[in-house]
Amino acid sequence: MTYLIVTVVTFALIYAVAATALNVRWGWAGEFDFFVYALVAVGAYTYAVIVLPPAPRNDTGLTYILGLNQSPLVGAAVAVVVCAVMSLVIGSIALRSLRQVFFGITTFAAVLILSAVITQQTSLFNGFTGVFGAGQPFNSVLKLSPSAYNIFFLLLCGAIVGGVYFLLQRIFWSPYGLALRAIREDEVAAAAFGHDPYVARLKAYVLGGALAGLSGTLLVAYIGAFNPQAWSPIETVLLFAAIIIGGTGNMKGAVLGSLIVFGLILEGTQFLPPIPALPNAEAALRAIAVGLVMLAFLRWRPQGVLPEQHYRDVPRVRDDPLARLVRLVAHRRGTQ
Amino acid sequence: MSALLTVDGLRKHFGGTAAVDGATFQVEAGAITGLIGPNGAGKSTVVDLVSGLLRPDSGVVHFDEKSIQSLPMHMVSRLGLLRSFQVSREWPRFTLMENMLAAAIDQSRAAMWRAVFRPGPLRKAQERDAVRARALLEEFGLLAMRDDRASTLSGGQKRLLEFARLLMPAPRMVLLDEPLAGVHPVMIDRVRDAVLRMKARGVTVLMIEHNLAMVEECCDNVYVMAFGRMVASGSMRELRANELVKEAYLGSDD
Repeated sequence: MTYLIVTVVTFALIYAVAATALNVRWGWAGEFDFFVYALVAVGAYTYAVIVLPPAPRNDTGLTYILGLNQSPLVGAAVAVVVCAVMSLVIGSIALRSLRQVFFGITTFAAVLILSAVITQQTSLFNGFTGVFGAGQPFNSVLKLSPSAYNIFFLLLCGAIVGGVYFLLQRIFWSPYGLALRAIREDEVAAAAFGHDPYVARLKAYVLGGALAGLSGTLLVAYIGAFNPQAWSPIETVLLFAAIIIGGTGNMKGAVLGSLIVFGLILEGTQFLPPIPALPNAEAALRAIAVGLVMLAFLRWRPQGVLPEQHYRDVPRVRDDPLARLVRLVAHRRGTQ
Repeated sequence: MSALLTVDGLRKHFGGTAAVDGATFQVEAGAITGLIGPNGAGKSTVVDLVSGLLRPDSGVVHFDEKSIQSLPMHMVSRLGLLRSFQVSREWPRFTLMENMLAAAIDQSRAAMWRAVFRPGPLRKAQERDAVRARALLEEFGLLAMRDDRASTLSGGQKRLLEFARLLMPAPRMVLLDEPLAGVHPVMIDRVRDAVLRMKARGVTVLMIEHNLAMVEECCDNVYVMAFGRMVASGSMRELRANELVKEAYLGSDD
């Protein structure tokens, strides 16, 4: 049971990094981006082929590029840089003139193209079967038992999520962060005050790409394998659900939303009693549950559990509950 | 006095229509210059062209002896030439204070790496901005509402916020596109005072306005525009006597 909980929370934290990536793009910059989960995949593949040994030259059918046998840190760094550069290329084209749903369609098409290329061109990342054997980084040194390593990886993911949150909070409250949100609210007005919308958006797009690459790195390092089935377009919808539920534009919200969607809803539904007549009901119920919760939030609390933070100039006075009660009673008396 | 802004032979076509057709005018430094004319004369398009929101088909725009006709809006505004919009464009979900802080242009602070690795100086600079923002909001009577969302303001208050926001980066010149549009009559005096205070601060103003009483009170020199070009200029008193202007815009009131 402990093992299961640790595993579920670890997955939720890995997805939380991807959710912060989407929250930079969608929450802060307002970009309706679908490419973020493809970058998780690119990060995962890149990490794998950097840390794996060269593909065997015999007839096993296992083929992938590179195979550099490098350390996990090198793999992670290269994966993050590759995703950042890929975002720079796609962003510099798509952000120039496309907005809203057109931007969404373009990035969605890019995901499908990438998926087709990686599935068909087996020499890249072993096609549909995918890459495997890239798991358990650092354990050749640490030599931990499986359950101890599981906890080690949870702590590693927790530290990374904490570090990402710390950096993103600094950016959120910086002049750049404020300018980016001003551009999201009204691009023309922001340009009228010297903010270059294209450059600010591109920076956010690249930052989001780097975070998505980091998330992919963690994902493949944890599960050890990665193939095209792991990154269908539906995954991006789950990330959108996590942000909408947790709080669009709020990084704590992105983490909370990931814990709710990936931990509670997706993993929690497997504890429901099975329905013998409907063996596939569980998978369907998961999708329905996520959809219903997302719709409920969009209808009744579109800002999410933790709304976007705002600069407060007047310090908020913490209201004394006793004083509030006295005021309430006085108000009741006054109205009678 | 010398001209801070000179515009020569400005042209802009939308399809087959010449919205601006050879507009030529100058704005004296430190003065309030008016721009009046009937609807469709091309006044707002002139402001859009000068501010860099639109790119002219031909013609030259000089601001402080620098040619700016091919610069995009964010570059023009960095030179200290700011503009307002006919419909005020505050950032609605921002608080008043955030509206002010986001308007403080200093691109040296925009770098993301500085926010990550050296946030201290940025925080200090933002505190200085906040002091300036509070002073401006107080001047425009909006200080008490500084933590409220800008979307909760009335039309007139939005105008005042827009002016306070325009002064935040200490501009050299502002282009005001109908500052009284959407302003309740009881607020007109406050908006007029705000425009006059801009002049008192040494900010050069070019103002499009349909309220001729306001133009007469504020403006040192007024251009009349019709069919995409300037047809007359002078003080309001001179313009009222001008037959051409009467025909184009004022109508005969006798």
